[in-house]
Amino acid sequence: MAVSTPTQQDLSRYELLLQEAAQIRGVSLWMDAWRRLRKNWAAMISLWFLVALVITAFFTPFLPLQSPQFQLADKEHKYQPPNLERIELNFQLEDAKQLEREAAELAARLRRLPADAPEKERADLRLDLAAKRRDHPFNRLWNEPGMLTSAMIRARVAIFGRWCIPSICGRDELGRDVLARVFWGARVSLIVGALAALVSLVIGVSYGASAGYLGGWVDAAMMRFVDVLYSIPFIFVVIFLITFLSEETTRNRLAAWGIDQIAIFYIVIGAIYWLTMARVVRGQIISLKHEQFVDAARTGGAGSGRIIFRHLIPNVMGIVIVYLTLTIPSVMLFEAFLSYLGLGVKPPDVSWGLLMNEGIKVITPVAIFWWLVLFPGLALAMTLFALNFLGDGLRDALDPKMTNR
Amino acid sequence: MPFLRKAFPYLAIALGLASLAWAVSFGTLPKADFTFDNGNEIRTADPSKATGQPENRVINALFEGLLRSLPDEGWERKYGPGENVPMTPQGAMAESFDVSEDGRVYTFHMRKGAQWSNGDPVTAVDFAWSWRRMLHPETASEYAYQLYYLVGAEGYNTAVVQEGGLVEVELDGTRRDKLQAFPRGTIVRGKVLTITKPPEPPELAKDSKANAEAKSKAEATWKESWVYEVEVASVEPSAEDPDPKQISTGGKIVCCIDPAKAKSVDAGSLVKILHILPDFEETVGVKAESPEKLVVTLKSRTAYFDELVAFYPLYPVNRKCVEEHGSPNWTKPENLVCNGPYTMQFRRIRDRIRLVKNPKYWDEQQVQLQVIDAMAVKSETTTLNMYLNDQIDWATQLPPPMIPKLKQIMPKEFPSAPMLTVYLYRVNVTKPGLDNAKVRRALNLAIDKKNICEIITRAGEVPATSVVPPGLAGYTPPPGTQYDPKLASKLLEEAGFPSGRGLPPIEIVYNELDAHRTIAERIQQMWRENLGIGVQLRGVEWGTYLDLQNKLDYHVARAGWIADYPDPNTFLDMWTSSSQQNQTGWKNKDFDALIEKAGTEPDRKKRMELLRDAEAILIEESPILPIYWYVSKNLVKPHVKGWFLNSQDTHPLTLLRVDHENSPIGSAGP
Repeated sequence: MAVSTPTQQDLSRYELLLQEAAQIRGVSLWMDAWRRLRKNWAAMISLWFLVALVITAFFTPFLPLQSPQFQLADKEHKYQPPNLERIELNFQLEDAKQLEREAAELAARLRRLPADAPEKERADLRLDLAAKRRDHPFNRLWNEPGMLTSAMIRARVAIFGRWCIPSICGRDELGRDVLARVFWGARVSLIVGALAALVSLVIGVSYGASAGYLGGWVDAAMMRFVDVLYSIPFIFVVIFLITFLSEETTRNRLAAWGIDQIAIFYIVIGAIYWLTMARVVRGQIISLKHEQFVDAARTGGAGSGRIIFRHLIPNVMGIVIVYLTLTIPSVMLFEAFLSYLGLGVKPPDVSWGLLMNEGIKVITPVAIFWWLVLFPGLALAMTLFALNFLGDGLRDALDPKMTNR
Repeated sequence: MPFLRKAFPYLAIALGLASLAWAVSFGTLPKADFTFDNGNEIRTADPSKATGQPENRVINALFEGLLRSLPDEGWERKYGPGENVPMTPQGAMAESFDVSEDGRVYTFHMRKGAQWSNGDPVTAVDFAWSWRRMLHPETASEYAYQLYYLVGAEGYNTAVVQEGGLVEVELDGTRRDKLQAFPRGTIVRGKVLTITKPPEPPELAKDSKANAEAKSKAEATWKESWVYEVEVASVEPSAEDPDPKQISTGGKIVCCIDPAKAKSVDAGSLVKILHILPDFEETVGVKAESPEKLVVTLKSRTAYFDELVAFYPLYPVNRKCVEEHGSPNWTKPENLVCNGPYTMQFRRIRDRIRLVKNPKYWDEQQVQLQVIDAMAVKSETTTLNMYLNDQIDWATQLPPPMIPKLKQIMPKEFPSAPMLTVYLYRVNVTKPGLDNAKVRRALNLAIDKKNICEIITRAGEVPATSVVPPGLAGYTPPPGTQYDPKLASKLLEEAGFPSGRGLPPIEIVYNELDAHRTIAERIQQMWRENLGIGVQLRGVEWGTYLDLQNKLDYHVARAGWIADYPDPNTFLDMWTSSSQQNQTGWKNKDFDALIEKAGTEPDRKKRMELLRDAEAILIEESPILPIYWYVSKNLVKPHVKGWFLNSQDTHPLTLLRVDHENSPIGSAGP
């Protein structure tokens, strides 16, 4: 039989086949998981709640809230129950503008200063500028906000003026608005949770993956190190580290590098929370490292680093993500606990932990100022529930054995 | 084997039950007759080292001094439940005492039959030894200055040795335990012939720019290199070094603390020593003339010396016990030997100290309560809950938010009266910015103390205009300060920091107990609004808090001071240059001179004037910022009898009785 060259007809048939193939989308693991997650309504509500929470927390400075730290310390406002009393931000817009103008002028003068100007003049100008900036009402009401926060506060003032939401969640011992404190506390608590989770993700995953893949005595040494850290009482380590790092000379040196108290606190928590993560990841990697795709990668000439980070870690991401959603609540509770011990955020900054701590003080059989417990407690509890439901949902969704559900 | 296999389940069950029983045995603690909350966990039960109110309560139960503070006979009839009952020093370990005409020599006659809890008699020798231990530099007693009224005590405590002076030298390497000052090593007593000093280190030069810490360090190292030539009068060999060879009575020794640093002399020929102190027996004014007679010689007439003797730092400790177990092990319940109305049965950290009646106590018949629990409760809210649930009979700390309510709903159980106590902020004057008196005054004037009393503390506290609380007979305080934010910001400007420009940030240190943070937060805002300065807060736990102040590692720190005895001096002499309690770095020669002069002034009226002048300096210089004067806040169950108010808020446990029958609900408490 003569070899026939493909006819036009054949070619168009192949083309059709190709087109059909192109239209069929393979279902990736992630797509599959997402599809399954969407069916789990509890997890989805939790997910949207968390997204909304993160967005509100981020845009808190923009919301027409009262100042979270301004004390209305008089007899009427101390422990004022929830009410609708009209209240305005305690500063004059003109003053703020005036100060800003003056600060801008000083900054301009500083810039215009010739390079050969005497150092004293320059230093004086800097001091003036720093003093002007500190006098700004925003600093007084919002404890030295950063650039982005300042911009949002400015936008808030431009849109809402000095108007604020009344104290619908009551006021605390020093006459501070509980609603504002819950919102601002969310920022700290969420950052603590997220950042600690991130640090633990980076350290824990790479440490565990390296140990698992390299094996042998490297693995033994690395994991024994983790065991040693595990055996040290956790609270003790945190208290020791924070006490050590907040010693004045150490603190000043760190501050010169831009690491402040709260940053140290984040790092410390993250640095400790990676231990379990390292163990979990190591176990997974050991079970994966003899799979054929690893051999294939090695045959292709990939080094250990590439195999670990490019081929192995993506395969354990499911478990890592699930574990993270379970870590965040525990870190947030731990922050609450540390604030309770006086080691967490420093006043006038707030966190949910600190608010809960203040709430605990006023539950006695003699009198209960319930709004100090209820609202921060509600916020913390709802977030923790949401994270737990989402973690549960993700675990189910990412579990390959449950594909047929 | 089969037998073992068969028996195993039974054995396992038996073991389980046994361990369950063992575990349960911890829970069923027999109830004490009387339980009170003692605030923070105590740091030590060693009278010579302790400081603080929780320690005070425990030590007063365990130990007793030459005298004890008690109200006079018939106080229960004379004073109502809302009145302060005055207390006077009365005979305790000493039956009586005589004072010489010039008021300088006190002779205490020891009580016959007074015993330690191990059965040994309490003698004058015990007191002389205890005070010696307290003054020894290695004991580092914070209250050592309470003995500075004695001749030579300050010199011994600060190890001031001069040529021609009598000294006691402790040889190196002759101690049983290098870290324990007692039992001591071989002691050589004699007279200093010469002191050879190497040249002064540059840090000590007058124009030196070194900071205070570097200076004191340099001075200490320099002093270690001094070489002393001592004529030996006598040798007391220690147990570890029974026959010190190179030393003979009548001979000489050339010695140095750190021979390696003594450049002028050949290091090899030097005797290495641990301490060279003035000879205690020859120079310090306390002598046990016989076991029954203690003679104390003061530098000058001190009107309130009997009050000092009745205050816990001057209580005795048992030499045998201390030397056998060492410090701090001797204060463990199983080792402790004490002489007070109670002994320590056990101590559970973060739970309780159980005190049981000491059958060997001389006044044992008067002690009514057999078993007392002192609970370590950190939180004021927990205390209140425990009180309301009848777990404690006496609450010493209450959550400030609840105080108005408590006063209203149970007025009979809430006795309250002004106290000789001041709540204040220490300012570390060695920090840049805070070294300027005007800045400190500005900080003081910018605190709205009335607002703090009305909004936060709320138990009727009085805003402090000066340091010494009112209510001390014969003392008129100097004109105080009032809240004046305008003057404050003017002062700050005069100091060179207009609106806080260029002032380094200030950090307030406080211990994490409920109201301290709230007060610090309030002051943070006041300073920010009134002066424009940035303030940070730092809450720490009690040990760290004391440590930071001790090491001058803070900017501003809160403190409270309860009168040790009812005299203005107790609030003023702690701020002298040499006082361990000063802890602000503040030194003022005029102030020191006035306090010293007041100490020697026999005329009461003139003495009070001198003290007033001293306080005026203190206010002008403001190394401390007084905030308010306390009122006592206690909740006492109606069935507790014998509890009374007094201006120092001390409540002798020996006078307390519990009477459940005759305490109808709502009857008068004490």
